[in-house]
Amino acid sequence: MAGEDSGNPVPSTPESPTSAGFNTEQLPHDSSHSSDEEEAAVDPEAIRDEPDEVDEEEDDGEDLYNDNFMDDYREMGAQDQYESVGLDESVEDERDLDQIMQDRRAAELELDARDARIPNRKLPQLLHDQDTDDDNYRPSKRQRADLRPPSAPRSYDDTDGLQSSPGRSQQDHSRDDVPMTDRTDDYPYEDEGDDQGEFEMYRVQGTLREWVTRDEVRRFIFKKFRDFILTYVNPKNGHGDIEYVRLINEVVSANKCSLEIDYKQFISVYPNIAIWLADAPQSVLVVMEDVAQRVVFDLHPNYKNIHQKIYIRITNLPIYDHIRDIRQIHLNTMVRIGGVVTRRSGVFPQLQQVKYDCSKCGSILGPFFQNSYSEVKGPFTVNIEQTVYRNYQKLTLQESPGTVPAGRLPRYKEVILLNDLIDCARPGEEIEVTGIYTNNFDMSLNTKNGFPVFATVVEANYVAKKQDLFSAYKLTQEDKEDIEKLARDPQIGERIIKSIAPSIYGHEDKKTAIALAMFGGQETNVEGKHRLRGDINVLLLGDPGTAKSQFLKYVEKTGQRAVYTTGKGASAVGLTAAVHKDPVTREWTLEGGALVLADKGICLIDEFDKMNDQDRVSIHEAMEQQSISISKAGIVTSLQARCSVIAAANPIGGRYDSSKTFSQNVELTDPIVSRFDILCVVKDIVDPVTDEMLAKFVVDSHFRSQPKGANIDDKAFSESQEESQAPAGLADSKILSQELLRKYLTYAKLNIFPRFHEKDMAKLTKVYADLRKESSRGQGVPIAVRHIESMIRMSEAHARMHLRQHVTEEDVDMAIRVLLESFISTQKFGVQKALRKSFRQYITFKKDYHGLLLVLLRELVNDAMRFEEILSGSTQMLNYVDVKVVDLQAKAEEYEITNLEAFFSSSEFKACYELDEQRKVIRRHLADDR
Amino acid sequence: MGGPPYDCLANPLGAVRLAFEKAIGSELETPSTHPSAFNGKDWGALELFRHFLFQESGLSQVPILNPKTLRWVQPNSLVRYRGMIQDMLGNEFYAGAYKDGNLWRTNKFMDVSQYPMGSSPDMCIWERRLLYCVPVPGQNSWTEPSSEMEPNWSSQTREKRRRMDDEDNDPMDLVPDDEIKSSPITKKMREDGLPSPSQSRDTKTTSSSSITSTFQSVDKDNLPCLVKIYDSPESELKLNDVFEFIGVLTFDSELAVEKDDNDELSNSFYDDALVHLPPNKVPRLHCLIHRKLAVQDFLPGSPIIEPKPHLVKETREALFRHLTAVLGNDEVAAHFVLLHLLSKVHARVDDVAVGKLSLNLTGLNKESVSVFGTRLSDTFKNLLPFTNCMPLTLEYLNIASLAPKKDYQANRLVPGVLQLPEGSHLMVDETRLESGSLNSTGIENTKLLKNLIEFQKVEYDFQYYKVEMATDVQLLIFSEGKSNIVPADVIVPFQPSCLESTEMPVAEALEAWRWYLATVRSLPHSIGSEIQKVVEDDLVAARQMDRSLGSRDFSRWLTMARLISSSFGETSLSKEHWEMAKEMERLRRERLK
Repeated sequence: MAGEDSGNPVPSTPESPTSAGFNTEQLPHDSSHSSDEEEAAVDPEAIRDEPDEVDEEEDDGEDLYNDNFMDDYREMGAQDQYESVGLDESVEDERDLDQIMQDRRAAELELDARDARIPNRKLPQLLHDQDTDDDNYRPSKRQRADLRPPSAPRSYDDTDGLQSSPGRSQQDHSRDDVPMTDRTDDYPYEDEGDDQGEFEMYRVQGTLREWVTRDEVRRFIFKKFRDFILTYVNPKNGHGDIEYVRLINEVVSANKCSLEIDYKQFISVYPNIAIWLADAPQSVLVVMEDVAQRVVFDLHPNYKNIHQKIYIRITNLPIYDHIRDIRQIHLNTMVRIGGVVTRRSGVFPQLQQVKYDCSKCGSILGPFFQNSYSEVKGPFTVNIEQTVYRNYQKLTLQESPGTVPAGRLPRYKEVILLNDLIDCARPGEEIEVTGIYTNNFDMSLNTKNGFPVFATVVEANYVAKKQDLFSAYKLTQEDKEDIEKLARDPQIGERIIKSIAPSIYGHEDKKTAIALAMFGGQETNVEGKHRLRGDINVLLLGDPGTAKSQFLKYVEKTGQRAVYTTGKGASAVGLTAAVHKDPVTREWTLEGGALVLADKGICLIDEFDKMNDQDRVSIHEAMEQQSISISKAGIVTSLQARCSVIAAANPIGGRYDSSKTFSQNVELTDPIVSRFDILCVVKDIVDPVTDEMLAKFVVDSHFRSQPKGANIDDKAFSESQEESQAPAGLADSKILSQELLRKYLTYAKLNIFPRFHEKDMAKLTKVYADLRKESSRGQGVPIAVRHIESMIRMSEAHARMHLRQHVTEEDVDMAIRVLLESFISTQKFGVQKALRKSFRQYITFKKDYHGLLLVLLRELVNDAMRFEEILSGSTQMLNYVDVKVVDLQAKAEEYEITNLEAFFSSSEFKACYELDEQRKVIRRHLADDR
Repeated sequence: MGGPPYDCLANPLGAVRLAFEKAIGSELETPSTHPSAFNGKDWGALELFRHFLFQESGLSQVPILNPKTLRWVQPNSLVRYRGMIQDMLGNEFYAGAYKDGNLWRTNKFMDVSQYPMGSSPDMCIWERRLLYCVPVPGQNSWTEPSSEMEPNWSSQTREKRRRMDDEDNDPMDLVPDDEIKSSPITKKMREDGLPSPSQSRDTKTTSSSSITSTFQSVDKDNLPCLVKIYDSPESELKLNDVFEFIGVLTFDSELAVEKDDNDELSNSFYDDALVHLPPNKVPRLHCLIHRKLAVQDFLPGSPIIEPKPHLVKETREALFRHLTAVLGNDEVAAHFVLLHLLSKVHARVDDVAVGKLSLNLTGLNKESVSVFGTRLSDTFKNLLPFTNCMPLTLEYLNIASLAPKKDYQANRLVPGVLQLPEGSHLMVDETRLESGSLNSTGIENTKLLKNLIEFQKVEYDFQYYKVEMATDVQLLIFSEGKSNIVPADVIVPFQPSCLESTEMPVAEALEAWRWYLATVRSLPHSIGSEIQKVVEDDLVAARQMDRSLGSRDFSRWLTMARLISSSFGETSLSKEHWEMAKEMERLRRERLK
């Protein structure tokens, strides 16, 4: 290297050794340099050979990473330079050769650094993301500084990227170097000499890990990081505060000893050092902690008495790895992994700074420093007085259940916690660890196996708990985009409802109710005193064999934090909570039942009518106040049960009797029934059409489904599921995949908090008044103020389903429709028709007309059949039934449906009916029973 | 290639090494290919072995690893092991290649490096996956291949050993097992309790026995094996799959476990499950080639016989006669048992496992079960590769651990009774159940059984959460009335008319039946559009007659129709078979009245 430092005046001369850093990641750290040099030497030679055109670069430019970059570039006004490949010479003329060389080296350095990373990680992409944010606020002075150096190196690099190889990584450099260089020039005030040193620094010699242990490099990192802490201003909060000085003050006032550095902020200012930090974290962290310590103690000199050391915690590391995907290329780099803590050791003192007594001469040796992953063993005795200990704890982190592919067992990793991270997580918690993935020759393992097997651990640097419930379903940026795109579909509501339990045929109303319950309304707290629940409770009441349990099972599978139980309660704890004595400690402990376990989720209760008496009492409170009060065995407490309840019950006597009222049909008291927002009465109507559908569906699921062998893993499985449904006749492109639906739900629950407007209240009030009038007359479920709340909740849920932050009129109409349907279905059969008529305008809202028309048509067919039966005494000989189109039209007009064209061309219609245009009749072929 | 210059069988590592040297050209000072370029992937060694095993039919010469062969098989030789993947222990980094002086050496497929490693800085770190395999639960003796392929170097003892082996085998075949009564419990006790006497030959059962005793250790019929997988995508090997692994055996009883007891930390919180599997107890197998085993692979000398229609029909007839005889001339029950034996989950549509046909024979009491249950159990043992029995007593329900459970202390998946490979048969005897109360384990267990029979899924207990694993187990339940704990798809009241015992079928017949069951079960199946219309219309009509019929009943009929059709070797449903299914259903319903 020294030879080159003297400055080679001709830029074109191959500078082979400069690229020693090339690909270091992939080689064992100590592999000979010679092969690298050979490889690297190729590049510069190639550069000179034929300078090429820019447009060719465009051809190669399919690289994902670089698209943003081009844009940035233009914003910076550096566009001209980019185009001006031909201007090279003039630029060169203006500047002295040394400068050119420096620039060039700096650029190459970046390439090297970049090169080393590309094969392993996706970091560069993140760099770009960051850069876009960044460019907008960069001070103008720096921008000017940018303009100076890049032109010369770029011209070379362009050609380099062009013709040396079509390889992507090459291409990267040619574009990347620009912003990288401008970062290095962050301090234009510094004199040239300093600059020169700086470029020198970025040119990694040898492996990166060795490089960053060099003294001059360490000094360099030290300086840069200190600058970062002392000068970084977060562009997002416009106060112009110096971010980390403020954070330091916070740390100090909270008496903590960890300073959290946002990696994304750091990388936006010093991309190179940030990459070094990610790739060779051990040594870089030492320097950074040194900086942090000094800065903190400079600012708060007396803090030394409280904490002797300040730790740097790296937050926001952009790359997230699954435990399953951690490979040897991640060794000794920084990783971010997530999982469930399954085991935690006690806290042990670990030697940190060891001093030894020599047993022969008695002199004290040391201090020796120790890493968490290796231990010093020697024939010396530890000097107890002068040795410094630190706390040490081990965790086992196991993959979260949602991320394990089917048929595999979750993997695990050991995590080491040191110092103030001790006890930051408990077994059973889901956490995310940012740390250094290290390995060592584990001596004990070695003797056991007689073989050099490496044990690997993650030395935690930063631990984030994932309190939110939805961590099992992670949303990537693409997911979010997909979801937002979906939400723009005007039919998204219907599509979601259709996608609920797609394997169950029909039952639109149940599906609507379940969809609303899964999305949920918005909890409100009136002046901080009075909480109004946002969860929607649904009761499915119906004949046996009407898929009630299947719905519940479906929600259990799809919903978040869903707990399934039966009213009889499989466990002794039951639905609410129980107090029992711990056999070991003899202490009374509380154990939550299903409702408590489902807090912030969905509680699914099958056979709701068969609840035991104890639960029946507490469920009143649980469903409205959403808490469960316990006063037993000296424990007086209240447990949270903020969940929506979806319950299923069977009618008295097994069958729903339409001639009786709702409360006569079910063994539930009115107070409990009124706590349900939506009541779905499901009657098993004798209907050949649905029977036929059912038959078809069952046959299809037997003979059309994919063979089991095709389900290689989760993804394939869900795909095959979709495929198997597609030919089932009822599926169409409108149905979302269950995976997407789950993500959509997660997104909606996390991000959408719809608000209800007063102006929509008028409509609700009117409906409420009407309903109340009707309910006093009829014998259905009494209507109470609660039902207004229900409507509000449902409209909020509907808004959330459409990812709307505000409740619109459409949402309100939908809520009214659902409530009305629920209300009407609870009435005696005779009353229903009248009610349906008087509330017609609400009921038909946005309903799937086809379904309605199908019902009407079916009624007509049934009428016609009955007519035939009376005429001929039997329908046995009947092959088909004709219904006049006019009749259907007349019926449809009662529901304000005028246009039947769409219906006639729908697949539902075509499945069973035939339209005869000439005769204006609809023909229904009857099943050939004989 | 004029014959391999090395012995793949006795010295597989030599072959690996030669291939390695050839690949990197290590005669030269600077290797033409840097070993890191392999990145742990194969460098041509596998091709060599594949050629040896399958082209030169070396496979039959490779000894199968079991407690018997373990006595004479040499370490570092080529063996095969057949077992079920019981646990996945994650991956392991090892120094795959290193420089010894000027030469590159490889450690792939080895536990111990053959040359001193020193502290050479030139080292490639590679990765391998560890699988913990056990013999398939309930594997029947007929599936074990005869030990006729001992290698030459032990030929002097060959004849003798063969006689010995036969002696070992015969009693197992003939003595009617009393497994149906108590086997899982006693078996479990044997596993959990102190090491059985047969272990005493392991000279070093030293300090770690207290830990290992929770897991199976080497005893007579239970040889676990730690398989190290090198070159295969993760998706190929799944939990509970039955595989044959061919690879290098390292079983070193000399390598005793030395625990430094002064190291409190590592003892109290050791990070590796390997500690609990000392190499002197559990052999290691460095897998070169693996293949998934289907039932056909267990059939002796299994050339794939074309399922000719008349052959299938004849075999079916003979098997049906045999089953009828076993079932005391109850033809209806025999029909259903035959279909039951042919059932398997061939698709999953949402939660519904399509194709399963669990059977509940009712009308049995303790006495009749001891006759017919034992007979059936023996019959199944001779017909199916994996059979298990479960006595459903109150005590059993309250004590047994049916679901596999993750033990975080040992970092192992503790096997449960219901951790069964695809295609296992499980007999549940409910006649022994008496009234009493279940504790929480009992409730948990009944729930598991119910889930298993309804959805063919078992929840594995990971302590902080549960993971559902799909299974495919044929369930046969004996009970007095209809079983509500284990609600089967088909309930058949059992009506035997004679108690005469049946004669043992001849070996050829058994072989033919095994072949029949294995082949017919895996036949593809489809339905023509005309017959589909007929079926659909029939279903609609049936539902109009009887509103209580639901999709479950329809599904059952279709499964039955499909199985009847397959049992005749047909691949598409015919009207005749559909009628037959309806007729069978009618006969069954008549009995239920």
